[in-house]
Amino acid sequence: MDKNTVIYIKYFFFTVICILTLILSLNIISDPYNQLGTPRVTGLNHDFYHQIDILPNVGLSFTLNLLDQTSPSTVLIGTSKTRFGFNTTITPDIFNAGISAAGLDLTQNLFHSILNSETPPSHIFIETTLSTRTPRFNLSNKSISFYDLFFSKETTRLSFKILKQSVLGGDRNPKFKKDKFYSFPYTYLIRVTKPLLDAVGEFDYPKGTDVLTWQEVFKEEFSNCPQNNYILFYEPPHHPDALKYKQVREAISKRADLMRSIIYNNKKTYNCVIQFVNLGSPEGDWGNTIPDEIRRPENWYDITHFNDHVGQVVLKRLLEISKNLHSN
Amino acid sequence: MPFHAIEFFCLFLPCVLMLFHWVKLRYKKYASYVLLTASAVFYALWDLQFFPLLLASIGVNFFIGQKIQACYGQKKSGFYLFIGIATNLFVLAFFKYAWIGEVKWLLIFDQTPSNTHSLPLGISFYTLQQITYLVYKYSHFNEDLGFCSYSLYVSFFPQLVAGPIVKYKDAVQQYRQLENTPVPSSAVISGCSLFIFGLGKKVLLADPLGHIVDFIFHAVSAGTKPFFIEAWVACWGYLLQLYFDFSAYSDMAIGIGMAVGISLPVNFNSPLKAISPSDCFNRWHISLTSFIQEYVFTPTYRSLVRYLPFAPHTKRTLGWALATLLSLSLLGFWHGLKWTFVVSGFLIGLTSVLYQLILPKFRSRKKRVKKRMYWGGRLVVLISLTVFGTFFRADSMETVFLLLQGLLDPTHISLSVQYSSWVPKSFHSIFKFEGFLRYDVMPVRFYKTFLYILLGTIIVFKMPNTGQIFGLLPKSNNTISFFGKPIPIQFSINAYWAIITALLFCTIFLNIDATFNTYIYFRF
Repeated sequence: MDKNTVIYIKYFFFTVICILTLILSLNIISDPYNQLGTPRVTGLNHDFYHQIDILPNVGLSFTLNLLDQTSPSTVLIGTSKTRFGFNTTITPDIFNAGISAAGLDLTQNLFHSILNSETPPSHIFIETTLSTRTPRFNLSNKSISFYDLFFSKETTRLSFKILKQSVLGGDRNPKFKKDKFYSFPYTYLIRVTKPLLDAVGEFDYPKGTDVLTWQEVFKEEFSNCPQNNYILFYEPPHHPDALKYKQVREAISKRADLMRSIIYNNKKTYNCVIQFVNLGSPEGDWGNTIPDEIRRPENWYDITHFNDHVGQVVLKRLLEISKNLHSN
Repeated sequence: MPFHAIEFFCLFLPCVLMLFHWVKLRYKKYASYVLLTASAVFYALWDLQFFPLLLASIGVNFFIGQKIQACYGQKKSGFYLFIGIATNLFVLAFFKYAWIGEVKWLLIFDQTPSNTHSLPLGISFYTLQQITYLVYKYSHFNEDLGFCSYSLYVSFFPQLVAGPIVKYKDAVQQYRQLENTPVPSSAVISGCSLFIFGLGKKVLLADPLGHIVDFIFHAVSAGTKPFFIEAWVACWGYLLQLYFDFSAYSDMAIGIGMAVGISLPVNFNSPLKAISPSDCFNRWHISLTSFIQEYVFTPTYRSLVRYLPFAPHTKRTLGWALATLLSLSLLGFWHGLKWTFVVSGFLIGLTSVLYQLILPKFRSRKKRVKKRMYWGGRLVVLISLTVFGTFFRADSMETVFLLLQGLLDPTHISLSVQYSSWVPKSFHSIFKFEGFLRYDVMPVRFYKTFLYILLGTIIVFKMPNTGQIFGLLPKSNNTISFFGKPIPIQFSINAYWAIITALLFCTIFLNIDATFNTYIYFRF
């Protein structure tokens, strides 16, 4: 081997080893998915677990792995709304299993896995939105690989964010920046109305196709669920500005009625206690009126994602309702 | 196990290279067996179902080659050649067209056409290579390669699944002397570095572009009419993706070949910088166009010139035009029996013929005219490749027409909603702010799209290609212009290039996308 070749090999491997070691250390220190049990140190690697957008391709494996370690009594299943809305790091008995962009297939699979775990939780609260009622074919059963944990782009990106936020401070949520969104009223108008109104047309609302698909997929799960389980499907709160639109309000409450009637009519076939709760519209299950926390735009990261202030109110209401179910 | 799988480049390839060089040092006559075994393992791990087909194909062709050689110079050898080529083409057509489910008449073989059948990996490539073997055997009386060396020539794993297609006459010497040819350490280093550069093209450019292009093409096939920008992004983006994806594979294959002392032909030479359609053919998928030129175009042209009943000049022009059209239509047909492929092949041929026929009328010695001709030629190449690429990628003619409508309609432009406040209200009648393809209201995809398209375009037009950087095309220009000053970019074995390659490797390693794990040319 000539001298140049030796120099090349030395420099090449030295650079590669240095960079990969750095990345590996970063991901171990930050441990964005809470999989390694790295101790949390204030100012270095705060626990932002509920604010990390776990993606569907690794979401199922990471979530189930973490669930095995914690065995909580209550689990919240849903999309990014759930993930960013509920800070369950302060309540160890409640586990946030929200996965960004979770579809019907992923939700059902997660539900099935949780119910069939060694110590299934007694309460499961499932967010029902168009996303979780529609198959999105983004389910992945792949197990967590060494690469996913320590080197993947997503893990590294999240580790950087955690470190940056912990050390430098800044916005609590790594994903959203409020000011960006609110500076564009036209944008906001489209983003409020269009997805919901489109959804009404696209999914053939009068027939409730998405709700029927949801019922078909969950039917077997309901008849096999353990007797002592309490399962609450809930329509999550909507942004106050979205609720200004009549069509939006109608869409939400009509879908809620459909869900409620399906669950009520099939009650006898269920093995466990199943209930639907509408927390999405003013005439829903809030009692008298929607709480002020939900009405305040500053409690929303954007048009679809609420923050922990809203999350606490919602969680409180869900726990109240499940308590009533117990006593009944 | 594609080349960009971590298992391949972190485990399989290093093991094979180390084992090969160790065996070559200690027991050199067994070195080719290491490569042969590696090739068999590589293929079997990927496509075990069709591994017996590969073995059978090698066995049958070698046997026919022996027969041709045995009766060299006799009429019988022509018969054997015919049998050999016919068998190869029949097997290729059967698996490529019948099993994919596009030819109804092959139902007589009781095969239900269905898209669930997969194409035997690399069949289009190893079949053509073996045809060059049979033709060589027919036209040359030469000492044969042994069965082991021949098997390695056909199944050599870097080029087995997507080329470059190596003609037997170009390969025979190096496979015969593989055991005795020393492989300098500098060749191993250069080969591995070229592999990493190719991997970079695939993972950092082709795959992100693929995500963008797939998103638009899927939406358009579902019936969404694309607006102006979306259509151009889809068509130009696909052309870039196709180029980066396929040339990346070729770079990686050539790199691995270099590292074991087998020289594979350069397959791409900056085709998007071509100055005329014929120039483009000499730069794009060179090994296939060279095969078509030698085995289809030349014999067809000669026959036409011989038999057409016209004046000599007309005969030559007409013969050339017809042979070009036939060859390029066949080239489209080789990719699959879909109208979009056949039409794209024919249209490329037509453009080439028209360009060559019209060009002489504009020729002039004036500098200004020459310059115009140069830029005109480049524009013709770019526009035609963009449009024909659309035919190539689209799954139906409806999708092609929707995209072409979008390409030609600059009065409808949709921007991401976030940009609405940036555009003056008087222009709001032209611009719509319904997002990218009206599905995606997030600006992320919008600016990322343009970033990748811009990056790809700059690399294609402003940078020397990997062949130039690694000295595989010694006579071509490998400089970039930096404020008017030419700076050569030439790979050499020193600390700087080691660090550059290492940084590239780390970036690739952190960006491997396991969900996007195929090469465009694997399906051909």
